[in-house]
Amino acid sequence: MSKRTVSKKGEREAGKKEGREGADGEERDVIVDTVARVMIPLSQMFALYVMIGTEGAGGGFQGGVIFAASLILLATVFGVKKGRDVLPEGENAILSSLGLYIYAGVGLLCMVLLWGAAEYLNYGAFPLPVEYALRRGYLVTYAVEVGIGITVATVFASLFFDLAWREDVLGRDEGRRDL
Amino acid sequence: MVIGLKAIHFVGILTVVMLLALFFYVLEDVPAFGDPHSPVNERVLLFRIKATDAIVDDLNRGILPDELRAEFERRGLDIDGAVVRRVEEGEGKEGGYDINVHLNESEYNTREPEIPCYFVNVSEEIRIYRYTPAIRYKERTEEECGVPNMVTAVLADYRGYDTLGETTVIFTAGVAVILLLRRYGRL
Repeated sequence: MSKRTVSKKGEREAGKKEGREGADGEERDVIVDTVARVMIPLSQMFALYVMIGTEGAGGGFQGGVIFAASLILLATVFGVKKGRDVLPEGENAILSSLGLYIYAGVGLLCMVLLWGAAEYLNYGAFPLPVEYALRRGYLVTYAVEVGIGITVATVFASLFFDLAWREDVLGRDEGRRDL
Repeated sequence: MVIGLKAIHFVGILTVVMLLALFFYVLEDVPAFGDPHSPVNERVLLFRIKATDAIVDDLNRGILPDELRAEFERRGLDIDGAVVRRVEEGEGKEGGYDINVHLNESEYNTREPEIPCYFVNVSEEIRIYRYTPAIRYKERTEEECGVPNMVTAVLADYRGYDTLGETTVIFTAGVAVILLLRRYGRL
């Protein structure tokens, strides 16, 4: 019998003292705990690199999915409740629409800042003090791709959190009845 | 009020109506194929030579002039079986000549036998342009968009409307799942 399924009181207390307590009060495996603690920040850094670093392959979609994968790893290891504490429902909804607002808003700002002289999504007309090609490049890299990444990351994390719930704790009908 | 409308509901309805009006105002400004001054919607200038009467006569008769053929061959461009067709000056486009090139790669080729590849504009001098956008993506991405990655430039700059729609699709899928399955604080 593995250490994880045994829930003796003494071991549970020891796990709590070290901060290695799972979702249902059991002690987590040391290896899983350590690997997750190392991998989550690394994969989040890699997600930002894929999102913004235009030198290599990738872009907003791929970077956002990698970031969502790090949040899903956090939720699988530390429990769904801990994962929801990191990304609460309200912030999740706000962020997933914020990314789209950034993308469409940059396109609208090109029109608004020039009083209608430029077209929608005409990045080259945006009043930045650099030359034409670099203006397009900066807006694509730091506004459009980041907007796509925020939307994709939060939408995929929200898909996981909305689908991950325990039937044996609440019951299927009990959870839905009083919505 | 029978259904219990509060002031905040009217504010919400007003915001939605104003956003809708803004959307229709923006829609007036959206061109059919994206930004018309975007680099991808303009032709690439290949080279320019001096205009002479012989060249213009040849172009009017539908023959590719020898000077132009020599320039094309010097740049290694395939110009075999080229046909010159006159393009009338229309609304929003300048007049000139299309150079159509035959593509006889295989007998199973189901495409049109000739496609317009180059465009000739005659004014004080003769300017020769190239049409195909794929070549532009490959050759000009870095100097036109300032992004070293070709895929990023095509995705977010040349095809910006498409990507905006894709992001909206993902956002809509997320909202649908939230409306159907979210348990609002119950885990």
